[in-house]
Amino acid sequence: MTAAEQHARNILGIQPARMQVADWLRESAVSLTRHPGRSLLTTIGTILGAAAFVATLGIGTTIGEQVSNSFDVRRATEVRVSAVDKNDGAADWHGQPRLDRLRALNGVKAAGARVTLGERPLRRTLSSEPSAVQVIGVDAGALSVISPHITIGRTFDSFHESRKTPVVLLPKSVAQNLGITRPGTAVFIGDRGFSVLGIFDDVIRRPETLLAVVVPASTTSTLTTSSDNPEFDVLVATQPGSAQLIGEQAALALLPEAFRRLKVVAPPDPREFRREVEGNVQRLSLSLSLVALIVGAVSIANATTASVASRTAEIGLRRAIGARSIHIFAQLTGESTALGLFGGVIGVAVGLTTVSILSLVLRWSPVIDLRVAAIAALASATFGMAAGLIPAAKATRIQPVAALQQ
Amino acid sequence: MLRLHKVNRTYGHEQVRALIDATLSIQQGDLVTISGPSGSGKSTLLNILGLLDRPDSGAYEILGVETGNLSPVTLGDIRSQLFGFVFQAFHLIAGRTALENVELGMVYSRVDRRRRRKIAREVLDSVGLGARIDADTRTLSGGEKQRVAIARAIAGSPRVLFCDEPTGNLDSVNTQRILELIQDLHRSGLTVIVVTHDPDVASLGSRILTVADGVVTESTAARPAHAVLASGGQR
Ligand SMILES: Nc1ncnc2c1ncn2[C@@H]1O[C@H](COP(=O)(O)OP(=O)(O)OP(=O)(O)O)[C@@H](O)[C@H]1O
Ligand SMILES: [Mg+2]
Repeated sequence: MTAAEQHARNILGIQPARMQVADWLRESAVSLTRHPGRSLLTTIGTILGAAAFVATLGIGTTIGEQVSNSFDVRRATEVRVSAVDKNDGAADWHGQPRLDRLRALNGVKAAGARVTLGERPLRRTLSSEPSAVQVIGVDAGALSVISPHITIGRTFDSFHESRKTPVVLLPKSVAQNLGITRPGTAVFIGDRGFSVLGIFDDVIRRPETLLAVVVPASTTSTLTTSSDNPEFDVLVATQPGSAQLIGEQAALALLPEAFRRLKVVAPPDPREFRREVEGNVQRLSLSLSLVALIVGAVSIANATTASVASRTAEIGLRRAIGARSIHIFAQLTGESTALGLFGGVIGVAVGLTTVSILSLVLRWSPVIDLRVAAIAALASATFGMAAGLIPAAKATRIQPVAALQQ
Repeated sequence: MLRLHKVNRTYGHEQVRALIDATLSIQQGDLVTISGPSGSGKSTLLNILGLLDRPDSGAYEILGVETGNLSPVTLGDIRSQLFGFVFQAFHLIAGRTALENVELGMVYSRVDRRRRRKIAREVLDSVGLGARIDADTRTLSGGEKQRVAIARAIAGSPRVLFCDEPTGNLDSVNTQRILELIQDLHRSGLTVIVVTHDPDVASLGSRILTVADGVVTESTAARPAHAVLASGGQR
């Protein structure tokens, strides 16, 4: 302000116009609350945008959680090595020294050899009717990979393995078929007698074991003839997240001179998979809801513009009675920000309700990041403010004379 | 108090000369009426006097201060602190009570809320609306609306009250009341400028100005009947 102008102001005895913050807030609030219809119309886009944002992200994380829950986390710590050619002559690739090299790898919890004999006749006494059951032989390492859950009796260990003790673990179903309820009972595989050491009802890995009887690997030589073609493989249990890495190293550790003759199956890391699924779902829902929020912002901008047009006389009057352009600007942006925030909060509530109802119907457990709700509300307020800037700037150019002449 | 010297105002490309070499001065305590036919330039004159519009040429002094070089911000401060406005269309804010509308007249001029409330009540009382302060202005009659507008205009204790066709939308009973109110304000010392095309209203002025085709003339106070006749004849 020039000195001359200040001098003029002093003569006239006028002070700078001022709008207190409380008045600014009150003027904005009163304008909004006394015209609920106009406010609701303005904010409906934001409500939808914020609701879509929260709902899609909420459904995204809920689905992500659902997907990873349905993943068998146990399977993901499991690696299986077998020969590419089943009749491979290199019978020694799963010998103990080689297995020890495998066990020495970082991330291996247990490893051991398994031999699958195929179906053999199984009966309680030599005179009773046999039923055909898969027979597998495992060493102590492979047994701890499988980790059968023993309900009666106990499991076997390296002692039985080294002594070639004829003991057997029966799955519950087989035991029930044979009418066996106690350990120590004898059964016959082919014509070989085995003592039942334990009965199991579940396994940690290799679910096919639930349909097979398990014997020490060292005893399987007494069950095979030269015409048999038993299948060898090596089972590995890994630390969570190490399966892929062990999968890459296992063949080399077992058979460094000809690792290509071994085939390794390692499942993808479920955590990585989960991240990927969640990432995909979230990217999708994020872009969807961003679109929704932008639509909301555009609708606020639209409605604010329309509202400014319908309030030309009011704005002109305010200018006539001394409002500065900054006051008009502040009031209109304040209003659109408040509308955005209000729409955001309502929208968040709608979105949360949607996710909850959907989860209830589909029997999912809803997973909602409350930060998403906060972000949605704040983003709505920001969009509201941004949307109000241009109409508010236009409103400051309203001339009182034009506005007040009708 | 207010002094125009050879003020001109021309609108748009069509060169409508709404005000031609207007020269006049208004003293404190005057009740000035401005009449003339439609389109003659009455509102233009009032808007320039009220600092809602600026002249294209000429000088306008308020209390001896030339306004031509003042910034819009200062003009706004003068409007809110020295002037009050009443319009034909009331221009109350819909959805707000009478009290809130009157308070609005002080929101931008450094009066704190409590005092605003108190003043607004008193002023509404003084215009005879003490019983309707909490009514939504949409529910008021035309006469009541204009009284709220007058209350809003005088709430900030202005030096000059500008009224553009204050009775234009009112029936004769309400017109009478509003005119009495304006005369009361004048008697209490306020300078009032009223634009009207109603000769009866015009005749109430202590000074009667007539505008015809942008030219302002003053009927001498000694011959008010002539002014009434002239403006009536031009209608
Ligand atoms: N914003 C504008 N743009 C162009 N011309 C205008 C504008 N405002 C007024 N005019 C013209 O200027 C002339 C004077 O207008 P003004 O509004 O001052 O007349 P008035 O005497 O108040 O008329 P009324 O009695 O109808 O209100 C008219 O010819 C009008 O058409
Ligand atoms: Mg007019």
